[in-house]
Amino acid sequence: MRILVIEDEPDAARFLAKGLREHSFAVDTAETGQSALEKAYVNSYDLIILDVMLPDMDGFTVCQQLRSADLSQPVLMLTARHAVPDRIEGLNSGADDYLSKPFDFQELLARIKALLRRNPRMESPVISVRDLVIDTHRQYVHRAGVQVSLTTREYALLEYLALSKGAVVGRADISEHVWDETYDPTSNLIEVYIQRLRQKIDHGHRFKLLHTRRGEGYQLIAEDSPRNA
Amino acid sequence: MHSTIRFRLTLWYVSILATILILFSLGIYSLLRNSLIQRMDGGLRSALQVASLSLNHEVEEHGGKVEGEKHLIAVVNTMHQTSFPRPGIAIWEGSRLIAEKPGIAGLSANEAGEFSSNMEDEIFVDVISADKVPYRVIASEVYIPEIQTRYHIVVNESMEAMEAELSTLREILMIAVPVFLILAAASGFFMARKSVEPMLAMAQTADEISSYNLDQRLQVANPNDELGVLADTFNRLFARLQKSFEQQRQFMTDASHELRTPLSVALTATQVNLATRPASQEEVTDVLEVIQSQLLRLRRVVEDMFILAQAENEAYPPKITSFYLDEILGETVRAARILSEAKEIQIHLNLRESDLAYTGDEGLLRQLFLILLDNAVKYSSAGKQITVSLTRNESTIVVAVQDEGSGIPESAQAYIFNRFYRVDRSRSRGAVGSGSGAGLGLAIAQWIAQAHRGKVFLSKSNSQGSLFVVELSYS
Repeated sequence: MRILVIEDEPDAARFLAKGLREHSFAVDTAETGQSALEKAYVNSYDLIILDVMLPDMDGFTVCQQLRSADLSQPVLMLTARHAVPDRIEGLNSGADDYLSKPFDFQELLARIKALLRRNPRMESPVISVRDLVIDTHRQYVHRAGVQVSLTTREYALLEYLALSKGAVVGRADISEHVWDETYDPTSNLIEVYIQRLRQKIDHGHRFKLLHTRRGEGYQLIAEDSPRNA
Repeated sequence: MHSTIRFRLTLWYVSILATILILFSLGIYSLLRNSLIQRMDGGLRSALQVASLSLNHEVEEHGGKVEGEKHLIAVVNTMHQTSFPRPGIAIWEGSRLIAEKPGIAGLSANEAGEFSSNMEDEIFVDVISADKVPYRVIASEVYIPEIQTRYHIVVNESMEAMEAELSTLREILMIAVPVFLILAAASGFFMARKSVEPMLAMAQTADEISSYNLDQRLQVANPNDELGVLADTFNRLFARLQKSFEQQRQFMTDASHELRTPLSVALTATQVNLATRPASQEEVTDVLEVIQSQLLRLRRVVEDMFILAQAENEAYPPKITSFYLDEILGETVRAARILSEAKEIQIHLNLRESDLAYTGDEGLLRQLFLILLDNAVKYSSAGKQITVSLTRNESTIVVAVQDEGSGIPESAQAYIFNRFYRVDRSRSRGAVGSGSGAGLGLAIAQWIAQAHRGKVFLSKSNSQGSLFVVELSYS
């Protein structure tokens, strides 16, 4: 899941991004409303965290412009102002949730997850593919009852594939949602991560779940018959 | 009810009207009565004259008291038969009745005679007869020298007809005045209510206005009448209140933002770091540095807000002492050089006055100079110069701070002395300790200058730099 953090306090943005990355999110940051809009138009984010006070325009304007550009991802507004009219204006301008500073980081995480769960793909916090169980809430992965230990990026990749419910996922989609803007499209990072993931979840199991579809992408699916991928 | 204005207005109106009406009625009544009495007195007097002339004439013509009196009786009888003159007449000599003409409504001679003995000259008297009828009586003494006899003539007339006329008027007035007063009270109450109505409407509107809808105003029907003036006065009061409320609200919003932001950054940094186990030494140091810078920022905001609160609260007047202004400025410049040297900026001090004695709040003036120097350093890049000068004019002391920074955009120049205003939000949060402010510095500087009967202003600002000028009154 990839998140855009729009926050003009560099330290605030830095630590928000750090905390979110530790919870397997790919995070980009923007300090001004203009640069945020440019990033949002180019990349496809799963969620946007938006500070109301920005140096060039206010968060309400950013939110309205996002909505008028037909970008419909959830927007969570942050503000250091704590007035009811602000809250109303925030929600009216198209924000989905509103959190006032200073906030508890765990609460922010909980609200992010609640907003992401509105996406029909993510209604259930637990995804099962045959004997593979992914608990998106606690970020635990089990295969045949045995816990699989994954790095945050590996988990993010697996979760993204699992959320596609057996559909083939292209490399571009993966780089868009699992990696942030530092991803180098000419690298073979995705292949490397797929290889590691396959090692951790499929190795030693009769039914392989992670499949490569040549020229198309990757697929996490339980097929009827065992086969060597 | 009894305390309402319309009730009191009506009461006043009716009382005044009642007084006028009663005085008017009394006036009319007594005027009429006087003229009726005068008319009656005229009749009585002419009857007396007729009787007196007849008496003289008969005595003269028939030569002798006995003959004269005999003819007088005949004349009086004729008078009685022709009913002219109208009043009753009695002529006496001592207690002997000579002749009598009972008036149409006259007193009998006997009754009138009771007054004759003690009446010497013409005297009018009102008498009540035995049958309760009021009479007007005139009596006079007539002396005829030829027969050496002293007669008394008594003339009277009943006042019954006149009294009846007067009592009709009395009755008319007794009914008319109260009826008139009742009508006046009703219409007065109605008019009073009419004139108070807009006031009640104003009161109701004013009652509905609170801090949430201070933009509402009273309706002004006619701005030129008294109520219009009142409504206008109230509206101007509301406008002042609204402005002050909005300033207060804006201050609260800005202050809230300035206090919450550093708290939020520090809290996020701490919580994210605590969730990362184990954290490396660099990570811990990084978080502590962030927390420190946010705490310093918070301290600065709190201190600035305290000074501004003090500025607004007249309970804390400036501490007035005497000192040398050039000395204070010199010390402040030396303090500012510690900051500026780290950025390789030079501060030149140009003192055209020495031993310039001044009376004011030393601490506040130090702060004023430091704010200006601090800003100059903050907005200057390495290698630039800052020039501070002190000059004395006739009645003012002028301190000028010239920098070679990039200047303040024209659109921002009007707002730089406003609280929490920052030209460039990202740039003003510089390194720790360089005075990463909340945008309160120039607002504080302005207050300090005003407390010294002076002002701070931006004299000029362009891409070559900015010139801030402090003018302090000096006497």
